[in-house]
Amino acid sequence: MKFRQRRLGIILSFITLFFVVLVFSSITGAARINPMTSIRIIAARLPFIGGSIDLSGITASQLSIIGNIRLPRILLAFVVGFGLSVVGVAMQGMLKNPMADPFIVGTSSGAAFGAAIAIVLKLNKVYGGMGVISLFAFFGALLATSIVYSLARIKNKVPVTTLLLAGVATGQFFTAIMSLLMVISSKDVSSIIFWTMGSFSARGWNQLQLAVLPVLVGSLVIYIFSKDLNVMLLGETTAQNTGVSVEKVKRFILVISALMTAVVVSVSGIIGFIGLIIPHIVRMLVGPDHRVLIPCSGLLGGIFLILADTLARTIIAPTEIPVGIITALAGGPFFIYLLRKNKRAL
Amino acid sequence: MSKAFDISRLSFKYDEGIILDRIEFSIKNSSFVTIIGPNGSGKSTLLKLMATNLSPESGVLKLWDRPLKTYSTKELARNMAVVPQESHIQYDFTVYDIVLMGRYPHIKRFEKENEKDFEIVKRALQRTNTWHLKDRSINEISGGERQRVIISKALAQETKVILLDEPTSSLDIHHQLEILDLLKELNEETGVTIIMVLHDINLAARYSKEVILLHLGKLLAIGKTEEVLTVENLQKAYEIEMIIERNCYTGCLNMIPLAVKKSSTKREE
Repeated sequence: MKFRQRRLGIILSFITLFFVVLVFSSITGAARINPMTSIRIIAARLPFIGGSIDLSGITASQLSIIGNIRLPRILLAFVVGFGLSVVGVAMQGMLKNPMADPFIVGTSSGAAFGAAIAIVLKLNKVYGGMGVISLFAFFGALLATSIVYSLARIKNKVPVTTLLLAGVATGQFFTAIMSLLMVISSKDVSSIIFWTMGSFSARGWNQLQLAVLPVLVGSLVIYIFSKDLNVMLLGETTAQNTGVSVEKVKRFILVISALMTAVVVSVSGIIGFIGLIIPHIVRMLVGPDHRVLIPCSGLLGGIFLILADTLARTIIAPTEIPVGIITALAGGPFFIYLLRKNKRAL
Repeated sequence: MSKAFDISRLSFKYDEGIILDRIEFSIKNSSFVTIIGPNGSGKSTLLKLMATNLSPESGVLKLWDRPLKTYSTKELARNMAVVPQESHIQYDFTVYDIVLMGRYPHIKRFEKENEKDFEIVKRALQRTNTWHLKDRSINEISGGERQRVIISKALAQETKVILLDEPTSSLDIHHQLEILDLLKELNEETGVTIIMVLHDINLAARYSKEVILLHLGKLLAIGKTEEVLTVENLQKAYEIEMIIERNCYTGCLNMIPLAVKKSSTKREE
């Protein structure tokens, strides 16, 4: 099939791009390290072939900068970008709404609310590699999503408009409580605001370990529903008459997406825009078929977030900018450019 | 397996208003049935209930002697295809992709489409004369072409029953005839049961073997087209003065509306 080959070609070129960006990002920063050194250090970390890589002539500080600081951070950015984009695709497809993103069901405000409580209560401790703030953010996100879901459910159905409205209302509610916390505890304002803008600063292998499995398994599950999502783009009634159990698929994807988003947000804070624009950009490139759209969005989302984070940590070094600012600054105009250029409805 | 549909004591309400009131009828296999009636008579609601897009207030709908409720969503889609009034597809799927989606109920979750599916899709597209459009986007083609593609998707579902909700309402007369001719051919050649809501009485008269006439949520008449489309029945349903004559070119009944009926006016024979 022509289609199969084209799909494979696109995915392979994205994977190649990932490796190029990985190496580029690993050598960018205050300490200058040449590309071959970096490739050797990264290769030594790979399973199976890792042991046979010759690391002679590489200093301990180089090993540490690449292996313990930059590499985990880059991979974490990739995983977070991957997860947010896949969830964005699923949400936009399931809700048939171009404005949908991973945070549309209240996840971000719930997470911010949880994190704010932990910050105000001075719970910035770390147990077993997991910060208490992250834990609070995770449960805050799940709490908000389950409130949205139970509000939106009418009998056994979850109508799209009710879901969107419940998402907005619940989001506003949690944001209001967070603002109240900031007013009461004004000395914590900057840490709360910083957290809500998302960052990979000081993140390492621990956070990566936490996020990688939920994101990969979740993406795989969503991928299995590709065909259902495709048919659902024809409208829920038509999908049902074509044999799709629409309400079951919706419930399933909502739960998976909420869990994935909560995990991602708990390790990185709220990184906006990726889950909204990456699916649109990839849809313009490869079309609406979810069997291509899901893997391609994941890959491009990951690559985009690596680049954004590299910029965030180098642009006014040694000060780091929250990566959420970069994604919005870079993503917004680029997205508008694509929109104008294509001049077609999303 | 002689009864495609068997409907007993079917009622449906929206909030307070009764939309359908104890409807009973059955439809034989390989029928070509048109449901007609004025606005608000409940004809679209009836079709939506038959398609399980709405749930009845009371009553039982049976497809092949089995209650609709006992079919799983996928199983039902292998038995009955539905063509909506108009398809607004905002996404850039190709015609081929859309028709291939008709194979969804025949493919298991972890299976891929195989050669047989591709062959069925090809035949479905050829049957409706849209094979040459297969690589075009569903949004680039005309309304008449799009409706033919949607019918191809229904054919790819390989069902014995196809429901259509005013499939020609947004088309010009050329494309209306084209679609109805196609449905007639399909019915005669493959024996697929066609159940269709139509607004246009004359098109219904020309194409259907049987007609179901609804009025204010009640079944006014059902039977052979010529038996149902009488001045008496239609005046009761539509409340207009009319003449029904046999068209000398088509040989079919032809209704000519004259004027809105005044309540005091007596019916003229």
